[in-house]
Amino acid sequence: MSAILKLVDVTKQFGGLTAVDDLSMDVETGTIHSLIGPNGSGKTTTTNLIEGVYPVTNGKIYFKNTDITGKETHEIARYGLGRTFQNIKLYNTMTAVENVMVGGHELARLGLLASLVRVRDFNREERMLKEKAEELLAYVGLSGIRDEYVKNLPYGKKKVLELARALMTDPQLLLLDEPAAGLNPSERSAFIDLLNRIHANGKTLFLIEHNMDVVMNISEMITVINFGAKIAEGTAAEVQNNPDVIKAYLGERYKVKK
Amino acid sequence: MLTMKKKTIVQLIAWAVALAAVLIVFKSSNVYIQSIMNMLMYNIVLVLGLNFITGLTGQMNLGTVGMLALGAYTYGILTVTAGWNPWVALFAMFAVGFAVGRLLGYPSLRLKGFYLSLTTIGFGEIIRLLATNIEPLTGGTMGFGNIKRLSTWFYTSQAKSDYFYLLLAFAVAAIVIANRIVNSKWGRAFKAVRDNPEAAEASGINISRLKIQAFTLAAIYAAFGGAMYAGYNTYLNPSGFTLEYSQNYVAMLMIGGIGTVPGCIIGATIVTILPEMLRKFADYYWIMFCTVCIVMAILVPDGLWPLIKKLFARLSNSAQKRKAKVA
Amino acid sequence: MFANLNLMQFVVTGIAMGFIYSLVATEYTLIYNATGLVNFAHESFIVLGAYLFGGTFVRALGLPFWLAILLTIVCMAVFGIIVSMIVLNPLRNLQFITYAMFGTMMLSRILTEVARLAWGPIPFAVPGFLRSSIKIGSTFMPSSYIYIIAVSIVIVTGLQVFFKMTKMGKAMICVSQNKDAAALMGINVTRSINMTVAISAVLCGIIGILATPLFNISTGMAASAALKGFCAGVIGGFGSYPGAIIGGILIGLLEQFGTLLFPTVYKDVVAFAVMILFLLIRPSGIIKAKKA
Repeated sequence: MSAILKLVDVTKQFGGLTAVDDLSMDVETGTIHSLIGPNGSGKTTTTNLIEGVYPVTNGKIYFKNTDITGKETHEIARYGLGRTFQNIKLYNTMTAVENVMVGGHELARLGLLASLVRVRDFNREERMLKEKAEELLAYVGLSGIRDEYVKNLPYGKKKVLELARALMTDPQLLLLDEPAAGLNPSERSAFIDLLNRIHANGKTLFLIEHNMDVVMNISEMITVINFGAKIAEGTAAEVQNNPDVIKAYLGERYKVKK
Repeated sequence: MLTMKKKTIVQLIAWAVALAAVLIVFKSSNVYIQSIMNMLMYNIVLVLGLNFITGLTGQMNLGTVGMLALGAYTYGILTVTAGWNPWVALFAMFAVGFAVGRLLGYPSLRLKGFYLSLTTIGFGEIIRLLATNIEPLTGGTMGFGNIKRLSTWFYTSQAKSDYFYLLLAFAVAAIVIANRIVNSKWGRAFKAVRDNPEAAEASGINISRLKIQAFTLAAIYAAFGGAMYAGYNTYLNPSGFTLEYSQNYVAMLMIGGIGTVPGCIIGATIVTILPEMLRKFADYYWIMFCTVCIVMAILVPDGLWPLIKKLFARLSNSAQKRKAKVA
Repeated sequence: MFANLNLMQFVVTGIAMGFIYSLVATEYTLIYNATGLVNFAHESFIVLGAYLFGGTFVRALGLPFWLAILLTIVCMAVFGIIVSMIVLNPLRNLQFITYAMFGTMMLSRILTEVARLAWGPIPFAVPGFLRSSIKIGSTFMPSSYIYIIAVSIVIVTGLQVFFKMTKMGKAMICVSQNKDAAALMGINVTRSINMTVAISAVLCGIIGILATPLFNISTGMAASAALKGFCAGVIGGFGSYPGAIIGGILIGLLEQFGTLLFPTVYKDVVAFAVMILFLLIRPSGIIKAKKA
């Protein structure tokens, strides 16, 4: 299996502060890979670097063997990278289905001028977007709130909606920034089921997560960072037994539930 | 979102209103009413254009009259000084629109909110000052006159009432096109850029390109509005292109219904026609109007159209409930 | 040709006008820092102040200048509090800033119209107020310029002292940096904002009074100063008070010296042109402000 995402010696400095320090990491295709670390260890910065939100100070990032270092976020997204956000970023003035449809904006290829002239093609594209969005809403179990304005939705549903939006472009890799944050236990287990389903469909999942329940139970590979540098990497069992990790992060030994 | 049936009702209302407008002009030999209706036509086009920037993409544009002036003067200069055929000059409006769209669009990528508004104000003022001072080209404060009205092969539109039908045709075309854009992935994308640009980027949307497209659309609409303005008034004077008028267009958008096409039409109609209808309150009119605007900005910031839709929805819901009870 | 030019005159006029722009910039920076809103109505505040002073207190009531100034300040303060309660506070909580911008624009129109109705459309002057002028060498130094510069310096220093030393001033700074935290500390955010707007309104009133000998009182007297004030703030560093001063003086001087290079009619463009230049090259302004 090749690595769908490869970070090679990635460093990010903000002025005098080193947020990410010589980080190298491979995310194998088709796996569920988690990035964990104490608060402020550089997890979200790493995600932002991968997504092209900030430029790297040093190092390279490869997605599907293409060098995406320094590219713009929207270009990187078009390569097949999807993302959900830690603090939900939905479009508050639109309904649920419209939010998901925006996710597929790039699927419809007609340019602005062409959209006005080639009316029949344009209508077809619009229909395609709507159908796909509705399919995805059904897939994640949100068909009922199709026409609800997003600002009226409860937190748990918003999280799932963001996921549906990210799936519109059929990304091969999904970056999930704290997907379980703020969910109650039943919502969390439903969310994990959803993630497992998505994974079974062939997608690679890259999670940044604090919640050890989620991380230890679904991750096939875990990378632990602290102060922006990798301090451990391995399976759940390996990571839990790593003394550096325990010292930095886990405190008491955390036992896997299986 | 309106259901299919409701959409048809809205369309019917729209056509009814258009028909009413036509009848008003047709039946009335009052030149005054005709002027107002003509003014309404190009105001609608201008507000529709403004909507792309301020309504959908959420950037406050106070330079509308600058774009209008550029369109109007270009059309005037091309047809009078350079002697072009008016219809050909009309096509030049696209070029003007593209150029202005890029001119204002690029700064909009780096500037946000207040900074951008200031730049648009600056743009409008600079255009006005240029128009006032480059006398040989624009006639300065003496004005630029003798602009010919557009004529088609079946009649020469010299009468104000005849010209109205031409302007109406332009306005309808503008409405139809705007409607297609707003209620499509483009409208959604523009709104996404306003609501949450980071998320839009992560979905693959090129925010920069979209912002420039929004400005270009607005500029093209404004340039056309300018040509309509020039062709109808046949006389241009820089005093008609002040900051105050830019604010009027924003008022039309905000009152009518920000981001929606029916909203633009409603807003344009209200702000254009109301001062004329309430002439007797002349001195107090603006105070009353602006007070209403502030109250609306605080209580109903989205404008009248969303309010109307909500009322409509509530009425039809209670109608359905009554039907269900009976059944 | 240059031998006949009195460069000192340019400098003097430039600095005086510059201070006016600086005061405008300071005033809207105050409101912006406190509420996050840009006060598009400040032009009308200035006009109101001028009319109250010149139209009502001096011409109609025949009061001595010092009393008229005092009363104008009091009225503007009260006015500021009222406007803050009715208009600015509700506006600042809306979802998009475009709504608030629109609201203040409409407020401006209302006030201007009220002024026109109350005091009539004909511009007038206030006789005998700061009309004298001293001559230093070949340079004319109108006393109004001296007062503008002096008053501006007093105000700016006064504000700095107020913010750093008084409890209310420090509370205002807290509110401007983090409203929620300020509220949790027991600061009455709304009252703080009302106070800030009141100070801003008083500032506008003072600008109006100072501008009376320069422009004569009319509804449009503050239009260009108001816009240039915005430019000054942006150039100097949005949100920064020292920046407001520097930006204002810079524009004032550049405007004057600009007339050496191109026709006077384009003087008004200078402020915008310089601002746009800064926005493209160094948007944070001359002094990078802590809060943008």
